[in-house]
Amino acid sequence: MSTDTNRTVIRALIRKDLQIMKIPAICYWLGGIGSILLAIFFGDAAGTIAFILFISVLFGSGVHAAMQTVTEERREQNLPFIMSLPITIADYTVAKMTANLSLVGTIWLTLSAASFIIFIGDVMPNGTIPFMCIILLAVFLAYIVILTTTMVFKGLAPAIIAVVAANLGSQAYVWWVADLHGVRSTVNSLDIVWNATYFSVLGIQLAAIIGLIGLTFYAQSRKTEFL
Amino acid sequence: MCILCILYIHMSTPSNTTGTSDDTQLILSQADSRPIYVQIMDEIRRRVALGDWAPGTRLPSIRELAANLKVSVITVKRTYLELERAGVIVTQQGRGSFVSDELEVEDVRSEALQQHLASAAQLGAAMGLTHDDLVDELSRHTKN
Amino acid sequence: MDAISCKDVKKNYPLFDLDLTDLTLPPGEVMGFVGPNGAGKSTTLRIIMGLVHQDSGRVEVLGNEMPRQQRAAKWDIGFVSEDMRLYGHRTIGFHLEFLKSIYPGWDDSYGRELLTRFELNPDQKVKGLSHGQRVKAALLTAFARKPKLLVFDEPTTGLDPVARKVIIEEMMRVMQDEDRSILFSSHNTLDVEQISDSICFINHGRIVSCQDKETFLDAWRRVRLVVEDTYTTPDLSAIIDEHRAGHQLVLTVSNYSESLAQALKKPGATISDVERLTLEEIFIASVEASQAVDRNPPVQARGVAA
Repeated sequence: MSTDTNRTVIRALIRKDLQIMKIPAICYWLGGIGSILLAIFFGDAAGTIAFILFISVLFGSGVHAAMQTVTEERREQNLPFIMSLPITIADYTVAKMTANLSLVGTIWLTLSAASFIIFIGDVMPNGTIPFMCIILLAVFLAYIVILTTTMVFKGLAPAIIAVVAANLGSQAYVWWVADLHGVRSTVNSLDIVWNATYFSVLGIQLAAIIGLIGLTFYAQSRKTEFL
Repeated sequence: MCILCILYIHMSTPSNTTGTSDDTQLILSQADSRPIYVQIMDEIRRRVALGDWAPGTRLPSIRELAANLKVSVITVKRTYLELERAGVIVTQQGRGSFVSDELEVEDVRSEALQQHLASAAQLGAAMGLTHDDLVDELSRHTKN
Repeated sequence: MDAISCKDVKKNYPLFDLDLTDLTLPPGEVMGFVGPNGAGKSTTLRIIMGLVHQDSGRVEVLGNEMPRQQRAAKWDIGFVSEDMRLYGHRTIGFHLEFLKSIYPGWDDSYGRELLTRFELNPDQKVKGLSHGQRVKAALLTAFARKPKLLVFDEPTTGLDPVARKVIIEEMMRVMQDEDRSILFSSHNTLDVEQISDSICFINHGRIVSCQDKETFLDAWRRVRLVVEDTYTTPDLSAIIDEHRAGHQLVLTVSNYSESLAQALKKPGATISDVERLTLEEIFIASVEASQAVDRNPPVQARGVAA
């Protein structure tokens, strides 16, 4: 079959996943906006709560998307139906990853961008912006860990382990980064300071994200049994 | 060897105008333990014997009949082959199967009778009836 | 071009080996795939669909080499496995619309026809359906694609007689087209016996026999003999089962012929009846025979093992 018709099927699969995730995605997005508004208007009193809520919404949308479209689809035995379509495992992987990354990516990107509104005015020092970037990217990395695990491994157990590990791991990781000299010395300054520490940490995170996505495609291509 | 249930099947749309095989129902019984192809053969023979399917009548195609009776194509193929061998139908390549023109309906009728008599004779022998006993039994039925 | 052709296909698992020497389904035929639980039916069907990759051997489906060309093959296959479920929170209509967006030749009117014949409501959510309705809905999504090949794993399991009739009817309607083929596995030997052109019998991951139904059913007979006390049954491989009660001997044979009958009719024995067997009886007899062999392997086999 030509690649054209193949694209048709992949597009249909992506559309189907987006349709299934449409309402939860909107809820998460509104939750994210709500927590930003909370930070703006009640920042003095509820700053920490707003921040925790915001990160939870970002993390939650990723967990929900991966669990719903990957783990749940397998558990509910919808996969034989999907794999009866004219697609290969590779097509399935492309469709699933594209649907997930575009959905969660959009939520993550728009909410992340919107969150920088809190740096307008004097609520937060601008020096926190690079550290904020690291936290946001770490949340996305945690999501990628979960997505990769659910794609590659069958069953609920690996998915739950991935969620717990990604959640705790990313928190410990962020604490560790916060303690790095390059971060500690600049995070409270009034102006943005980009130094080598920030660039290396962000670079490593980005490489991990790309590496894990690549690993997912590789592991999928090695499978000889796919249900 | 059974059909799921008694099947009332319209093999083709009844066409009163052309006078060809109208009212072409074949009815098979689930309780019949004989091979399906034998049951279908007998049904077709009966139709022919009753004069419902006159010589020259076109039979449904193998796949048509298989779909209507919900039996496998190979079974209907075998049925047609056996009927052809018995001279009841003729198959023309690419045109289909027809009730044989040379067929005497009387023959088919008498053949059915012969079959029944043969099995009656067999049964009688197994029960230890003599020739005369058997004839007596038969005449009792003819008197009725 | 055969609809399906498997040659020397092997797949090894830690506790199970599948070895399909030859499985061929010509176009225009229905093949019934029978065998006890765990015989390898589902694995075979998955290999045919390219969802499980064989370790070795060649699998071709509609002229496409599997699993490599599964994309091309699956355009023309309707597959329903026993463990397949539609999306529970979506309606039947959602699934049909989804398929319509994929298959260019989608026929809406045929889809509606099937919904009517299967007595399904497109607006109903799948999770609200009964088991029978779910099975029918899954099968509907396969039929509606109008594929060249239908591959069904236990399509009539758990259906009531009326629903089963509807499915059998639809399968036979498909067979009016001589280019279309069906492979279906089933524990319902009545269904298999009724609509299959050929029967493939699998046990312990091996194909026991794969031949046209009429020949297959004709080959098996139950021979009733009246024997004297001194009669010993000849040692023939065709004899699958033997029951002796008093002067009556009942043999189940797998390869009946006139010469076999002659071989049985030694002095001191008369054949009183030769009966045909149903597929169910054949199925049970051969599975029981293979289990008996497992329990008491022949001396020869034991020698090889040692």
